[in-house]
Amino acid sequence: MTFLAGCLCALFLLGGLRLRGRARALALLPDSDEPVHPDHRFLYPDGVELDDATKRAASRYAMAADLEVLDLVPADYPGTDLLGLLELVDPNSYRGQFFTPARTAGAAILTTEDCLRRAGGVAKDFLGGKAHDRVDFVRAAAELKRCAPRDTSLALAPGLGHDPLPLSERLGVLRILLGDFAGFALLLQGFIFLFMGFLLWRAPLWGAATVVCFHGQALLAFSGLPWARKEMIKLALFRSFLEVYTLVGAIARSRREAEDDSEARAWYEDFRASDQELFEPVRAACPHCEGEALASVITTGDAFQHKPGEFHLDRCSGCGLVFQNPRLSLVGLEFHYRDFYDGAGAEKLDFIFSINPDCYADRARALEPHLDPQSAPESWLDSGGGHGHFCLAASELFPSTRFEVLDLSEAPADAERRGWASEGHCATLPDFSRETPKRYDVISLSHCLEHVPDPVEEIEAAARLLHPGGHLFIEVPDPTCKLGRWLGRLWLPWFQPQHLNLYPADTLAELCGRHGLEVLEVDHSDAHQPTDLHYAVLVGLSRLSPPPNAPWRAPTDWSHDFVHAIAWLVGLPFLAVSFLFDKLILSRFAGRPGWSNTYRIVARKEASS
Amino acid sequence: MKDLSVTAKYTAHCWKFGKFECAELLDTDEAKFLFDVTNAILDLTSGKAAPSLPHSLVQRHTIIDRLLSDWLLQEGGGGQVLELAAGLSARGVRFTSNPDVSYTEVDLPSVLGRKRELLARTPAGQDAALRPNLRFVSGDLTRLDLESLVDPARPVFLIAEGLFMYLQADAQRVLWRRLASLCAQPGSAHVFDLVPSCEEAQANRAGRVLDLGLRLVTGGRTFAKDERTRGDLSNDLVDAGFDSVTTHDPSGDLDRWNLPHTRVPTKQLVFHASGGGAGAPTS
Repeated sequence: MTFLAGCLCALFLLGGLRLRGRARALALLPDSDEPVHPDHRFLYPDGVELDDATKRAASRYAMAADLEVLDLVPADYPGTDLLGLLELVDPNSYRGQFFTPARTAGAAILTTEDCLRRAGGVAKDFLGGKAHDRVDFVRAAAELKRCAPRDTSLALAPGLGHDPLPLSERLGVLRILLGDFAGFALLLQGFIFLFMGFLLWRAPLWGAATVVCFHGQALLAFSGLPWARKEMIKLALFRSFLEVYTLVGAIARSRREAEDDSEARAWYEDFRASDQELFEPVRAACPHCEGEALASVITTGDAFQHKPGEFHLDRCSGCGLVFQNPRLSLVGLEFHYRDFYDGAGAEKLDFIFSINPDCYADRARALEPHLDPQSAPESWLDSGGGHGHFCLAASELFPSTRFEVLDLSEAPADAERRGWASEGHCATLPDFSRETPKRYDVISLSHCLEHVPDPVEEIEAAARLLHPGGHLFIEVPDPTCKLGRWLGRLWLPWFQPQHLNLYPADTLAELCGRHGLEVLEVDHSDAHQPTDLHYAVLVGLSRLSPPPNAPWRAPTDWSHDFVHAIAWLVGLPFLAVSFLFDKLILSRFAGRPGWSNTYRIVARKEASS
Repeated sequence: MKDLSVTAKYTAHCWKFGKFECAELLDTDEAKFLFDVTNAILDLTSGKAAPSLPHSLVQRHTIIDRLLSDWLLQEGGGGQVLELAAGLSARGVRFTSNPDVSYTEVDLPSVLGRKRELLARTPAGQDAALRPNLRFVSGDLTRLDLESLVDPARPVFLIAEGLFMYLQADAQRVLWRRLASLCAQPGSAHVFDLVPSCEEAQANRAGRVLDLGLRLVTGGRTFAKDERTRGDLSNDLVDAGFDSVTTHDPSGDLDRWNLPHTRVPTKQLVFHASGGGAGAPTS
């Protein structure tokens, strides 16, 4: 117990030092007499007082810093909230992290007319402080950040009058900021308070030490900052009481989000009632080589959304293809993809895609050695690119390249509207290749081929769309990875029910060659994603306790939320250990045959094609 | 953090330490912390006679400032300047207080974004950031269209401070060719720093620590090393299209530069290449 208490004290103190660096990096808006720039607009919820001096100061700051979105943090922002905000955002690097979800104080936002137009809908409601709902305000901030991913920041506005966030809206705001982790974060906080209380009871000295360290965090974070002096003293004296009051109040008074999912529920009920066939007939032969020697790999359910159904993967002994058998029909695919990448699942996926932003830039860098070192590709199509995460990251490396994204959803339109891609197309690659006269210098298929029913048609289409000498980049999971066998249903790359075909590298390389694409590189080591073990823990936890409130399942009550949060709290140490094992140990084996979970192929369309 | 912005932060406080005008506009607590910690580690791991990194950097920055001032005087007080990998240097801010100087800074988007935010913290910084003669261009140097950044009808002064030590020999030559093509007008010049590997002291503990630290924070990138001497580097510059090359070694000519910290051991070498058929640089 003393060990845990010591760890907690150390964590509080180290956290305090981290918060100190962040608090000091928060810029204080200097006064300005210059008028507000005509393109600047101010969004704030009803109840916030935004005076002209603050508008002028914010406008001048945004112009000098070349920002499109500036979140204004009131100087009298409650200390507990400010510490919470600084836990989530480091002002030193926030601007450079273009996939990081928006962090807002929820008071006021400066934006440009153009950015406001791109963000549309919910953001416009807050022009001039007309609307009130804070949850919607945070949602608007999130969309504004997505529309200005490189040019969003936050600063402290001394003259901004602040209307504290009501306890009843806190949980809703936290859900927007942390997604499914909101309940877990609250429970973790509650658990820490209980542990501190327990220590005070059983080991008063250690208990007092943890309380002192907890309160001292504010002193560490805010000492030397005149604007935070009042809050610092308040927190140094009363932080535990304030935090417990806020936590209990947020849970007790929260309106259980009766999010209107009636439309989605109706769709799923209608779908169930229609009794449509979700699967094609079972295949007796491999769809690639027609070989009839098939071996069973795994049978599993939907580990992510927990929609009904069971899925089976077979491996062809001839060509090594691992394929879903029976395969989902188009209707089945529609059912299982619904609310995963968009709709109810869009915000969660956005959060997940923001966790490892480096992977997108790494893919673009992998192609770099094969390109002309003196000139960037003019045009690049990212097929299966969803909301354009790859396009946005790759445009940092190739700023003059025109990136287009293609996917069979509304996501490409969002990517275009937000400016993450120059153009978005809603189509399949084969359909697009038949309809468009365009040709591209590069086409990327990152984690796309395994999702499509006919990868051969996809490669054919890519070859058709490339300029002679153009490059095709493919990244897919490697079904020959040993971890797939060892972890079985918990191995993320099996990803049922979405992964329909998983090709071994040599079969896919041969397929490229057959379509006039000369394979330049097959890489197994750099492509490896160090995620196997901790994603296995995540998949296991998700099976153990599916996330609450999905429109395809019966509505859940608070007890489900509680059990879900407990499951994640118990799983946290396993998650941490497996994460470290993935990063520090398993990744070192990636270069050895059979250990990489992913591979990349770079191919060039023959000039004579 | 897989770029070299950590070095930009270190140098941001180094310029403040060197008492360069306007350096405080870009200094931060984080930069000071990084500077202090790095120097403490270097002090602990290096001998007394080893060159001091911060003092060497201050001397280098001073020499380049002086060369630029001299060039502007030659050009009648104004001119166009292009600084590559400008980082968090305040040189652009200092020199654009003269409205006849048009100054373009190039660096990675993350570095320039942070730079503009740091400037925006103070009224003086805001005024500087919004000057019409100070332009910030973000992009990757290897593929950026540099020609679009300069007026080909006027001579240009190109600065690349703290850049070439990270580029392999081939990449250096490619960039020099591109820069030489920008220096078509007589009077154009390119100034940069690079200490040939053969002139560096044998890798001591401090050097290894610095190398390891850089690898850790940049995802494996570190200093490029090869066998070329000063003469070889000068020849490479001439081969790339420059007319002539002069080197400035502060340790050999302390009086000329009136440098600070002359009692501290330092190591720097600044190359001054001229283009446009102007002959040897006169500064």
